Amino acid sequence: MDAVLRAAVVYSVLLLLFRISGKRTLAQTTTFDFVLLLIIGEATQQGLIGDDFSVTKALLLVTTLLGIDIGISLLQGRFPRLGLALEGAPLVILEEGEPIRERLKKARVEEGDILEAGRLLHGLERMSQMKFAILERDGAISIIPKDPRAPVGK
Amino acid sequence: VASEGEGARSPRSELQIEEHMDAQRVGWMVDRIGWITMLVVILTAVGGLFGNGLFGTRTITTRAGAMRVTYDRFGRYGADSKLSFQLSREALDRGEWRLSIGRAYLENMAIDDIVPEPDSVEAKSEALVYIFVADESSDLLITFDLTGNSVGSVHGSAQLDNSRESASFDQFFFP
Repeated sequence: MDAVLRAAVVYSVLLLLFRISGKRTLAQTTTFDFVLLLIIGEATQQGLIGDDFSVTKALLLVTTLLGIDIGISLLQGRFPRLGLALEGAPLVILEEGEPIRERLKKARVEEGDILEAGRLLHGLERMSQMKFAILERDGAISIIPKDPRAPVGK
Repeated sequence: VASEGEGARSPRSELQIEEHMDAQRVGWMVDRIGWITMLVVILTAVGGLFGNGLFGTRTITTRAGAMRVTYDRFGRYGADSKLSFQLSREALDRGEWRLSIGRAYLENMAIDDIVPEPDSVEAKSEALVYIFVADESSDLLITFDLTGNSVGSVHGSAQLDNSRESASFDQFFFP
């Protein structure tokens, strides 16, 4: 029984912590973020397993963790507001070449992040070439360029 | 030109997107509350609320000062916890100290080590009596290395049988 309880507690606390850390925290995995993820894994491992190293317990934990995950996704399908609470909603952070600064600040996104996404995704040089930038639910930034046939800067 | 929501000049309606601005604002607020909570948790953890902190140990002295008990106010299941007794030489009786510790407490703990080791242990129905023979007239500091074996509140009691001075203390063990 304790395997199920441990998995449920760790799952919910991690879910809560990652939710309040914001989308941006681990969105673009830098080397250090990767190390951080590893350490978080190490730290939770002991709490999950305790001093019981049996295969049964490991399998129980995996089953419970995946089970909760499936359960939550099913619930999200049924109650859209739950999905909204757990995953958030996409947010427009730039329109017609102009960043919406208040939103950038709230969502902890910098203008440099938008420019970077523009370069990576579409080879755009300037914000004025972007029609929209959207902070997606997973923390990635997607860019919709202006119509390439239109003259730049218009 | 769209005239929806906050941006009247906004061409955003071309975008098939549901921003749920109310939920976004609630989310930002919850984030900030969460960060403050995290900070509070970190600071209280440093202070000792979850065991092993700066202010996590308590010391109580019995009435006449024969025994001084130092214990961890908060502990964690499966983690080390130290319990120490300073016995004064005035309480020495016929060359020995008889320190009894309530069984109810010891049932919640695993004793890893006792320093110095007692010369003998007597089992009574309510308590275990640890007997330390003194070879000189000085105070004695006894340290119990314990591992928390239960979760929740634990009530401990200890008594110096010779002087009939007793101390009781409460601990809390996190899961």
